[in-house]
Parts: sequence; structure tokens; C-alpha cells
Amino acid sequence: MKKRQLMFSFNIQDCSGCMACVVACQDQNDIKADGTALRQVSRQEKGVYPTLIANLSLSCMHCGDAPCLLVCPTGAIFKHAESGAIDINRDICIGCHSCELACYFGAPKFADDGKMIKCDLCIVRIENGLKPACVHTCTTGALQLGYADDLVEKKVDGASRKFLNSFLDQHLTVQDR
Amino acid sequence: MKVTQKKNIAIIGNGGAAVHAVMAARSAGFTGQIDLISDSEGPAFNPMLAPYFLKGALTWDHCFPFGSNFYRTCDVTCRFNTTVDTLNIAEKSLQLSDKKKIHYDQCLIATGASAVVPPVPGLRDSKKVFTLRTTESTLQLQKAMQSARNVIVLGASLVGTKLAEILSKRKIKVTLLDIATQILPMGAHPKTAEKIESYFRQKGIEVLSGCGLDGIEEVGNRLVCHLPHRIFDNVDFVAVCTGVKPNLQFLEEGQVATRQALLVDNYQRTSANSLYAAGDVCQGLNRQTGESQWMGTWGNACYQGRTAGYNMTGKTTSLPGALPQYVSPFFDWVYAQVGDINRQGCDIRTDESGSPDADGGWQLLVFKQEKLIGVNLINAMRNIGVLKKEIDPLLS
Repeated sequence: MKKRQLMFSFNIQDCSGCMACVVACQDQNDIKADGTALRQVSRQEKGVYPTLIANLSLSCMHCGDAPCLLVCPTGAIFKHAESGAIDINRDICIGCHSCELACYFGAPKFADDGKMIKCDLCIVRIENGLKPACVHTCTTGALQLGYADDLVEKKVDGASRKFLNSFLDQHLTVQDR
Repeated sequence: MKVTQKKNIAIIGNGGAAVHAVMAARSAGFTGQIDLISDSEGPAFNPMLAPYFLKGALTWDHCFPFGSNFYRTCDVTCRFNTTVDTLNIAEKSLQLSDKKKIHYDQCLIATGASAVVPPVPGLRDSKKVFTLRTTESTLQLQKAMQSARNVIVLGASLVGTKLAEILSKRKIKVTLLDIATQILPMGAHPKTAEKIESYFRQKGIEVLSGCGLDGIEEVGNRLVCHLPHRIFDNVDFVAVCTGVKPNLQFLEEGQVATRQALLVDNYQRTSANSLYAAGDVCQGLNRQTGESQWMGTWGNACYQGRTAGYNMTGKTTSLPGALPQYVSPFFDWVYAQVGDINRQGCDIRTDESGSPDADGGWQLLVFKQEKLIGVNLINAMRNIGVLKKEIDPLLS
């Protein structure tokens, strides 16, 4: 039977930039208010007098073919068989930052102990029939969770590229919030 | 694409590239015979982990990331402690050191690379000279470190600098030498190198760039090391980190197209029929410059091995080259390099900003005609994704 891949979907037009997803993630993962957030919201503006203002909520994309997993020298990064979530065994993480270099989304973060931390798709919540904390808390429904093959593939692909390009085109003026 | 089943695949080598080739072949549905020939015994060792083992960041068992069950799970016929004497391309056969001869339909060369010891008088003969590449050399170095008080690290490469850090943290007096005029000569911009050198000196490491080793001699239980204008005595050992060379001993000259390493295309094919290569033994496309370049990283080896594994089974897969990129933590700093850093020319400009110890870190950007072509970062990994997107032709 073909393995299914859970993933986030995100509708940038619905995101208000309220940061509730970030706070929910920090709460779920016991991260201090001034600690390293596993989900980040960036405000995008285009133009001196912005004609486009948008917010991008981004965490690990749980890639089907995750480059972080392949380049991890110890095999600390792994994929959950059932959900496809990318997770890490921190006991054997050596803090080499190879994953951070491989990831285009800035998903791997590093805690004070020098080891990597990342979004695990709230796998414990999912295993108990709950949505990830960020999805559960999203005030506008911009963040959703679903199986990749259930999501409208073209829409997801087009939307992801659009968000990413918008984000990357504006990177020099990105104001992280 | 139909996966061919009636085939024998031979894989020479037992590292990340070899293991990923096996995994790819089996995941593509290949059920034929896979022979794996290795000069050592046991599971695949990751040489990148050797410094981290010496640092105490992980146990010895974890230096073998695929474990020993891998070969049984993937139904691999292991020919350990065996080397290839000759490769007969026309006959598609391998003559092994145990006198056996095996025939293949597709063969992968994934023999990796070995540490190079420069031809400095005394260096190649001394038992107090160590490299850091194999299981044996790692354990020898670990043993030597136990009682050492004064060590010379020859070669300020990524491995050399990492080793200097580890030794220094053990309160060992470390002198880091490199004949190049800067630390990290292969990937760091001179301005970056200057910062790292200064940082290393703050940490108590003596850095001598632009300085080679004229010779060494054993005096009693110690070494005397001769530098052009200085003599170091009472040295416990010399750690040589001056680079690697591909393991191609079993090939005849001209048998397969080679430059610095075996030349491969985007399918990991060599110039010889049914012969593939992956990992540190080969050089592939640098997708930024369009040139063939040796880029020896664990990640690159795994990607190349996987690509070769698919292609050997008939599942055609192309690897769009690689982007030069390296990262290494030094003490409390994280240094990274992406793209073409040391390009020269009147249309090249650099732009540096920040400070390694300030919030946001330090970054040096290299532009060619206003196009970003390379970056050096110190404690500024937060921007790595967007910077890579600008540099990488696959995404920009």
C-alpha cells in the first residue's frame, strides 16, 4: 500500500499575521517566549508605498524527499512511516548544521544545547486524533493539515511557489515579526 | 520505466554513496544480485563523523549510520576484506584479491578517497603522524590524543580546523599550519579567513598560515618539527589534514576518463560502458559554474549514490549537479560557505555586513555583475535559504 504524506497547506490570502500559530507552537513545544520558534511568520511588503502586504507562516514543509534527511550524517533525521512527518532523534544529533544548509525553508533550528530542533508536525497530537497546535489555533483557517494526495495538487504546487517566490523576492526587506 | 531484474550489480566501496546506491536499487524494485566489495569489514563508516567522535559528541557505534543489519535487509552479498585487483571493462568483470572473479552487468565505483600525506621529509615514515579518514586512523588518533600535550595540525582545511578545536578543548597546545596564505583556503574568502584565524588565536590556537613544514624527526618519544624559520620540539604528534585523493588504484591509466577524480555525467555514468561512479571518487557538475568539479561532502555522495543506484537498475534519474556548500561549527561559531567565493575579476565586488558576535552574525556576499554568486556566513545561518535561492541556478 502506498504510504501517505501528511503536510501543511497554507492560504496566504487568509493569513492575518496574528502570530497565534507561533505562540501555539511555542506552547506545545515548551519553548520560551524569547526562544527559537519552530514556526515563523514573516511580513512581506512590495513597493515603497506597499501595494502588496502579506504574511507568510512557515515551518518545516515535511518534504516528500527531504534533503535534510539525506544529508544528515548520523541518520538522526528520519521520516515517520505512517504520517510522513520528518522528525529528529536528538540523542544522535551532533549539531553539524548540515540540515540547516540543505533546507531552503530555514526549518531546522538550533537549541541552546547546540542540537537541532524542528517542527515534528505535532506527531503526538496527530497520533491522538488532534490537529497540530498551529493548525488548531489558526484564527482564520489559513493553515490546514491534510494528506498530499487529498489536496488539490496543482493548487498546492502553484500556491507554494507563489508564496515562496513572493517571500524570496522580498528577502532583503523582509521584516520578521 | 521498467526496472531490469536479470542483472548483477557490483558495487566497489562501502560508504554513503555505496549504501544509497543499494537502497535506491532495492527501492526501485530490483531483485537481482548485488555484490559489494570492500577492503574493510563491517558496516559503512562515515568519515565526517570522526571529528565528532573525537570530540565526544557521539559514540563509536553511531559513526556507522546505516548499521550492520542493512546488508541483510537489502540482500547484499558482502565481500569484505577484499580489494579489486583489476577491472576488465570489455569483459565486465572484476578480479578480486581473494582470487575470485565476478562478472557484472552494471558496476558502481564508490571507493571514496584517502587522506594525502605530503612528501615532507620524515612525515610519511613516522608513527607519530596521523590522518583522520578511516576507522583505523580515527582510533589511532583517539589513542594519541589521550596523553598529548603539544600537537601540530598540518592543513587548515575544514577537518584540520575542526581537529584543532577539539584538541584545544582538551587543553592541548595546538599549532595550526597551512602553506596557503589563509585558513580554509578552499572555501573561505580572505576576509572570512582573517576573522576565523583571529577567533582561533583568541581560543589559544597558534595559527601559522603561509607556513609549511620542512621536515620532522623523531627524538626520543617526541617529534622535532622544522618550519622555515622556527623549530618546534617536544611535539607529541602531527595530524595531517591536507586533503584527500580518490581511491583509483585498481584502474589502469586511461581506462576511464579522469581529471582530479573520475569524470561522471548527470546520470553518474563514467566514460566506460556500464560503469558508474559516485561519492568522493568522482567529480560531477557544479551547476553554478557549469564545470566539472570535485565536491566531497557526505550529502553529495549520498545523492550521487542514489542516482547511480536508480540508473543501474534502469530507472533513469538525473542529478542536476551540485552547488558547492559547506558548513562547520567552530567553538561557538557556525561557519558556512555557499557558491563561488573566490572569483576574481573587475566585475566582482564583495559586500560584508554585521559581526560574528552580534545578533544576526556576519555575512560576506560576492557579486558578479550584481548577481550574487557566493556567500560566507558566520553565525548568520538564518539567511541561508534565501541566499542559496539567489545563487542556485535551479531556483533563481
